[in-house]
Amino acid sequence: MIIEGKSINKSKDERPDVCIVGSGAAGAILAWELAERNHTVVVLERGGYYARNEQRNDFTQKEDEMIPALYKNAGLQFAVPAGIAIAQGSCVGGSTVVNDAVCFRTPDKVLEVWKDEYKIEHISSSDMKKYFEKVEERISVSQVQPHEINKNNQMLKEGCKALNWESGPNDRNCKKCRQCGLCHLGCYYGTKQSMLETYIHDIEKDYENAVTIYANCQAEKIIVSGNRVSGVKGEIVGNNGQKFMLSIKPKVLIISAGAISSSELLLRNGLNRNELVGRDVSLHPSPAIIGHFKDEINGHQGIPFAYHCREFSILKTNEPGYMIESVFLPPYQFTLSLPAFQYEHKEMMHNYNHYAMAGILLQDEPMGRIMLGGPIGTIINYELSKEDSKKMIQGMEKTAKIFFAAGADHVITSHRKKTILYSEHDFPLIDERGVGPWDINLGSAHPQGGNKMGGESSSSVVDSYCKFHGIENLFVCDASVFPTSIGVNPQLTVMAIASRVAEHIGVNWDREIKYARSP
Amino acid sequence: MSFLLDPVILLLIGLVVGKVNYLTMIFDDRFFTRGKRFKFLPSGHELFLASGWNLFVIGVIVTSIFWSYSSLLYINLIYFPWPLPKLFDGSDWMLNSGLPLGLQRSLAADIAAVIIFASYPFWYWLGTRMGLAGMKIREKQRLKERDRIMTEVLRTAIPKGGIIPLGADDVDAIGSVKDFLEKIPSISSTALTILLFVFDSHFIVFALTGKWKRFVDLDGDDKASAREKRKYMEAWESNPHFLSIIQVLRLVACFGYYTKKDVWKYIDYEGPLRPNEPPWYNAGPSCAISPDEQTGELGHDN
Repeated sequence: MIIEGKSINKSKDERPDVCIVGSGAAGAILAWELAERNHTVVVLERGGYYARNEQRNDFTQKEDEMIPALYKNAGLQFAVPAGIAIAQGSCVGGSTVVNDAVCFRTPDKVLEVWKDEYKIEHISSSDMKKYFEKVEERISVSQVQPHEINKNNQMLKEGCKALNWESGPNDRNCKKCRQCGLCHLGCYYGTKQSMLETYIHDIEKDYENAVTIYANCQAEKIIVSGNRVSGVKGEIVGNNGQKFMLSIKPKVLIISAGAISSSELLLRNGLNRNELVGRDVSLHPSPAIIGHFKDEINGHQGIPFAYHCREFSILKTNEPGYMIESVFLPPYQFTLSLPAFQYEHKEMMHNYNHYAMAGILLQDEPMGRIMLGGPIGTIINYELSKEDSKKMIQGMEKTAKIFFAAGADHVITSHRKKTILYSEHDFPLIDERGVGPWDINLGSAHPQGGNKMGGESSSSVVDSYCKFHGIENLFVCDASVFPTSIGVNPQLTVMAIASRVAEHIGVNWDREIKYARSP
Repeated sequence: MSFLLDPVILLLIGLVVGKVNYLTMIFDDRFFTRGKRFKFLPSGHELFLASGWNLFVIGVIVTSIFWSYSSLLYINLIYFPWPLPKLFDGSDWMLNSGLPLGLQRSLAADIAAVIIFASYPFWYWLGTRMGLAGMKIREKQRLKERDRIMTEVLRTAIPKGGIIPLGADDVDAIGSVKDFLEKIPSISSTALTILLFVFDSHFIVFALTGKWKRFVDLDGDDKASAREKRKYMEAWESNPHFLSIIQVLRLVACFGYYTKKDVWKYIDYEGPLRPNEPPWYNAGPSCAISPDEQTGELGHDN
């Protein structure tokens, strides 16, 4: 059952088996899997509920309506001083509602590092295989088909082919994609198999009484008694902004509010295990590179992100590097990657249909930190390391090279100062302009870390199964538990970890209950 | 306390309580829900504040104290300033307030005293109204000024003419921006307002152009050309630090402009397609993947 804030007119109390904060890639799967194991669940989702069913379809395909509705802080969330714009979904279904539906399993090498260096138990590729298979089947992961590759993606494909760089079509969680190109605004057609169309749909269908999802409800307070959580307090925003309290006394609490918000919630409640909460955050910072072609590309017509180049990524080199991924955006979001102002900016936008676009997904070092800033809210502190800066510059050169190989007549970088490359001779300009905080517009859709998982309680926030060290019935399960950045789009990793944690909690339920029993 | 001072003091207390109440509501999200050290009001306090019950409760307490102390003074049961060393008789202090007025208790004075005592809640209430109303006016003026600056920024960033002839004014970009500002978190809205005021300030305009004017007043009577405003904006763009800041304004301007249907035809963007399928939708062959593309491995074909 999904309860929207607007239908609430009084404060409420709940006593479920499990309370989950967040309804995204992790929260929805945890809710469904625990309900399947006969547990009652209450989910608190800060964002609103945007439905797509027989009665209503809230996905209007309009940027000015969907961006403020579906994105955290209406899309205005920045890391400082790097000035990286961080896009995260904030709605029932979380970021799975607004992402590009791209699915990569966690690279083997990353899991190996997690196992060997962070002493995480049962996290090898073979251990994780069954969880990946389970969620892949559930969200209908399949490879993009040749007829689904539009000209924007084709340019990346042709460039890589000419350079003989390893590349390929993406795997996506989509069924009969209508190729409208508006994945970032939520899927009107319901073909993207986000949490809304899969796990949450099934929760509504099969577990209406066992699972209650409160939309427009922000978790505020975690009450800890001794070594256990005894209560959670949430604030529901009702009609006309009126606020009501939701008091929950769960046996188990799972925080799956996403990287950044999960750390923020723990810090706000003084739960700063080993002073490590909020530390070691990665962002996969990404500059956009735009190739201009004489022929029309019509990049917005078709799947925005269907193809990738893995030549320089951990998938090929076994070392942290970068992926080059095709991407395209509706006009407003596209403008953010273009330099210039006034008439010059208009001239650039006039060529909208002649552009192909690609982003560089940098597998960055965990240089970020989430802090509480008191009156100014949460601060995401982040700066690129020297090594990452070098890799980013290299990645921009390689991407420009791909577009030139595909026939681009010029390439525009996302430097703040207008930077146009007309041939490879201009590549030194990229280095000259730099990638420092004042130099370039970077975006991120993959914040990770902040509550890192580890086998040793002294150097991590949660254990191998995401249980918070020192508190018996508190779990954190989302991208915030990644000890390192993973170098590929993270939704599938988050889902597989959630499935693994749900299984662990289910199997060990009696033990969790024992710890959670009221004194 | 005294009859000359009590109404004034009650008014001032009401003013302070009203202002504090208003500020508490305005900054609630920033001061009272972020981190334990800032959270010194209990959960649910915001309902209490918004309802105005706190003003009532404080009013009852304050007025009761004034009533009790002043009436004991008036009937001369205590002196002023009890319990500190005595300066005046209670009754004398209430009637003459330390001034040579020569007033003494009488039936008329007693009736007047009852009327003045009865007016105490009014003075407190008036103070709270002044505290709240004063802030509201300032908030209203601030928003009006913000919108004025934002309108000029939009006009300058997206002028009429050029390859896309429409300007920000032609598509009511400011209307969309105002809606957007309503939807973003208050902290972001406040930050943007501060940025606009800095951008508009005499000091920055002077530093970059040598003219002691606000941004909105640049160009004087030659408003249509917006030449000076454009030059000022270009001066921001030429400095890497200023450029990073001004890009936030461009972001907001682009939101107002490029989300408009009238603009889309100039960039060949179709806009929302619902409820139809996109005209370019390719359902593909019944056999989903051709043999030469089949690799047997997900995500790898080259």
